[in-house]
Amino acid sequence: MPSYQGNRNKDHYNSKSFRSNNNRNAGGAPRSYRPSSSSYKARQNLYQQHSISHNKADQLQLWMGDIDSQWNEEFLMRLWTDLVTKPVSVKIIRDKANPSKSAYSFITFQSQESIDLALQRNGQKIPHSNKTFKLNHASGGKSQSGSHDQTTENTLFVGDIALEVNEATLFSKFNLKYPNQIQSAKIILDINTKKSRGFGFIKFSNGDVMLKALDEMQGMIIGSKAIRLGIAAGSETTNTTSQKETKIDYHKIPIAQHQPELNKWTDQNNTSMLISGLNTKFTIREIENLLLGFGNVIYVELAQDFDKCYVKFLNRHEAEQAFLYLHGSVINECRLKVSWGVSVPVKDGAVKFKPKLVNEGKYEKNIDVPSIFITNEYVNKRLDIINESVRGSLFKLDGSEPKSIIEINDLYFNKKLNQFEILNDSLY
Amino acid sequence: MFHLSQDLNNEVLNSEYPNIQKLSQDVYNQPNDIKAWDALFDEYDKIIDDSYDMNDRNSISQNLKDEVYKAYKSLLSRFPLLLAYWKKWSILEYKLNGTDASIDILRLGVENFPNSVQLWNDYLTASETVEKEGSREKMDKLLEEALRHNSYDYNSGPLWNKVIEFEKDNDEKVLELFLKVIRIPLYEYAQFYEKFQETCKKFEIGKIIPEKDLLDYVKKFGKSKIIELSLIEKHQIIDDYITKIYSITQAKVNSSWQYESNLRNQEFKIVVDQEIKDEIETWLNYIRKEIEVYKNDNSDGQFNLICNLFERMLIPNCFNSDSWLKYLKFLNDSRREDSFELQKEVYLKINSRFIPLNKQVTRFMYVKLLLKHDKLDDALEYLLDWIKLYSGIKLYFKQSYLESITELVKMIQHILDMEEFRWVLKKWINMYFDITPSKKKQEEEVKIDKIPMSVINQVAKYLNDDSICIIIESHLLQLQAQDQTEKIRQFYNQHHTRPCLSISVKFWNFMFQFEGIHQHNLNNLKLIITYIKNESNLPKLVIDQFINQYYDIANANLKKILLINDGKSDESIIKRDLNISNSIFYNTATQKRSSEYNYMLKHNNNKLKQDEYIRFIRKQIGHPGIFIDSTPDITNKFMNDGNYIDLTENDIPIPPLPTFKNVEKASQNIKYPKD
Repeated sequence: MPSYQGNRNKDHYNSKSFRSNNNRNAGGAPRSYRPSSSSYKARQNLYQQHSISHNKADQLQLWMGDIDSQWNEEFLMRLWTDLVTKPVSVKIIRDKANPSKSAYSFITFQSQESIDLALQRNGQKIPHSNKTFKLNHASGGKSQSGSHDQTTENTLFVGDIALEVNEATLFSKFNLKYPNQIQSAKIILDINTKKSRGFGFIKFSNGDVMLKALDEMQGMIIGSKAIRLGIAAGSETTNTTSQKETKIDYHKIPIAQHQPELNKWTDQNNTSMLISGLNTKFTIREIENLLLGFGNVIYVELAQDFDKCYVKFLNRHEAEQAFLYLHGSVINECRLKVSWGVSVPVKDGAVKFKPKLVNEGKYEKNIDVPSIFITNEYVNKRLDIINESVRGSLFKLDGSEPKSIIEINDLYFNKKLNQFEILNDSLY
Repeated sequence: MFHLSQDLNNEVLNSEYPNIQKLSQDVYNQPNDIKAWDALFDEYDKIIDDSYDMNDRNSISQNLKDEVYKAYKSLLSRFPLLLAYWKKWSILEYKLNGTDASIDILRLGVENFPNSVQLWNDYLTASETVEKEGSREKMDKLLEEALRHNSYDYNSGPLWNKVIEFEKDNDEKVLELFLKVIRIPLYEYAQFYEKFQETCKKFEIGKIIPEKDLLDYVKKFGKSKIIELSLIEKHQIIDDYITKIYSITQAKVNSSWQYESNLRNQEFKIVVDQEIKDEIETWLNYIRKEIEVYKNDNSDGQFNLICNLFERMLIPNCFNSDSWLKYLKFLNDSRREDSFELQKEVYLKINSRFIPLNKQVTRFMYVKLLLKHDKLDDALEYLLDWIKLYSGIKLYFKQSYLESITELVKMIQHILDMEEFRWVLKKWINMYFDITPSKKKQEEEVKIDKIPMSVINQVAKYLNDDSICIIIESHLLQLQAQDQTEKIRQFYNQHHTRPCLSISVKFWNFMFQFEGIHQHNLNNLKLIITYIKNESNLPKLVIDQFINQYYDIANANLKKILLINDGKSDESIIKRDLNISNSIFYNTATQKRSSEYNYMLKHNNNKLKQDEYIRFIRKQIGHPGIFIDSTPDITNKFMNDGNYIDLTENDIPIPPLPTFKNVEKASQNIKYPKD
């Protein structure tokens, strides 16, 4: 919201600037309506229509639609506690006359982050139900209540305004038809190009006149195009709650795209892989050699029939590299096929993961490992078979501390030793 | 995840019940998962309960009975130490087929798990009821067998009770048993002492106390002959004697208790948990203590006690070859006459039943034991049997197979002299590659007496693309030892393009070391490294090591390298980092190799292979495995084709709205590959 405030001020400033210097863009804007303080104030109020400044509590509220008639406040409370954090309050608004009709609700959170997190759920499936989230900032509803402020009364929305039409033209066209009934006219400009965005607002002093104009002026040709009229959002005479035009937040790029369900393919942190097509022709050591060039491996496990292999890397980028390298390759006369796998956390064992063999149940999100800097003298390890002492020293190698000569020598020596081991330990 | 040799006979059970069929498949896929087995048995229980009629034996179809039998049998032949399942099975079998069948299961149980006191107890109790009037002889044999395996078990009290109870009419036997049991440290030692005290008085004193000890007593009482002792004196002597034994046994029991009380996991589990691992140390300390005693006393009893302790320790640790080796070492060090036989028995048992197929130590140890006792033929046959099994009757156990072949080659090298060994290696290679040496070159047949020719031929039959590399390496090493540089290079020229060698680390490592370190021939070394880099099918990690090593050698011999390259520096020095980089784009050698060995590419044009490979990679970059053919793009970008915006202009025109391509395609649902 603060960002929008900023834009409004900018707009404000622009309008000031052409007021004192009425050439170019504003054309010969007649002073008749501009200097009058009342109409200027009216225009200010008009802007506020797009950016109703809320108090803080309002901003931390979320509108949630399509509420199942079975759900109660407690359910929503639990739902959000699981998904984001515990909401401060939850209020379901039901149609009292028709309780089975789907209702909507307001969820209030502690912080802006929670709101942002919560809003990301929009369009996703609601757990344990077949509905999807319908979410919005609650501010939409608030502006409606703000419509009692008389400044937003009796305003018509004007669309399809030709580019050459300026505010003065618009004003005079309406003023001609309904003399002294028009309080103000406004065309919205693009903040970057200063060109008309092709729509604007007309404020009437009287609601009846406005309704009349809505009827009579519809499709009237101004400039080169026929205008389109509608009751502006927030105007008292309407119940429309559509606030879409006014809800532009320049900081966020709204992604309307449907997010695919989280699974092993879509989880961007998934590091488990399944290599199939091994056809018994690989020893565990050979598979290690195929993998360890790319990164630290959490586990490698051959399936009972030696045809598949379950692998988990420490980092995602390592897994991706190995994936690209191995997928489709022909090794030991076997055609390897790689796909992403699933691992489950376990309590005991050297590493806290093991492969999930049966493909059942919900996919659980993989925890991202913080990326650490590892010196290039470092030799990648298989974490499930190295002993405790090595594991301890493993993550000290993050390059953040200066190393002693001995440590550097150790690293170098280990690398050479590993080289020797790889070349001489092969079974064939 | 481990394989046992029993796996090789495993089959999926066929069933008329779809549920069972599915569960059987699970069990087949996960034979080590006891939960899968439980689910299968529970399902059987359900089906049986549904149609079971107490009074009608035929209420359950024979087919179902057979199925259940097979299911239990396949679990218990895999894991014979699963005590609870033996019991469960015998109860179920009683329900289905009656007493005899149930006893039969228990018999199977004790045969497969002879160290279980509980199982013996159940079996003996059940047999007793049936054999009431039947043959005593059979029962005697059973009791003897039970005691043979378990008499020294700390918890074998119930078994002893059972035996003494059964023999109660046979005074002599009872006396013999009592004299034995009161010397054994048992949990219930006091009970036997008390019982013996009650009954001992009716026996002849000479039968209880050995003559030597008895004479000492006689002297103490101031008499010269046993007959002179009065009844009271006799009783006093007996009491004194058995109390002495009692106090010795009591001391033993107390010292054992500190270990026994800490051993909480004495039952077999398929998955060895941390507790079992932690307790190994307690077991070993316990056994060490007893071995110390044995060193001074050397009695059969103490020896059997130690053996029994090992056997008990190895119930929860039966898959642990290290623990078995400790037992075998004890048997070996005991210097008893039957040491070899005992070891053989243990080796045969564990190699075929317990030690997972990927652990070779005990198998090779047994072969060595046989060799030590001059049983060369047996040793070869035993090793060959395993090689045959690993080479893929049902599954190819590559690791174990290659280890066994390596062991075999070592063994043959050890047995034969150099000349013979070289001849054998050459023969194997020629047989494998189907090369008939030209008549001129044909070397004289070497006569080998120590190993029958049939064995040599048999080995050749079991060689495959992987193991031939082991033979080739040995062959090359032999040539190197003889300084046959020419022959090695000839061999290289003749064979290095063979597919089986393109994956052999051993072969390339040998050639690399030979030219680089042994011969210092940088020209050849360069050829080899170029071939490895561009043509081989070795794992990238291995190739990286070769590149690193070449880099070291090249840097150490810069002058020579400059000479070879007509004064230019060597590319592989400059491009070392690129050549070991994991980037498919920058690492052209990897690109070339990968494009050669990728079945997903459609190779139409050799020249374009690499381009095609890059396209193949690009389609999945950022989301490996998911191929996106078309990425959305703006077609009228500002900067394209001179469409730039002139910022010097005052009135900058609004650029046209962008037009797109591939937007629809990209917004289609993503196709995820199926598993």
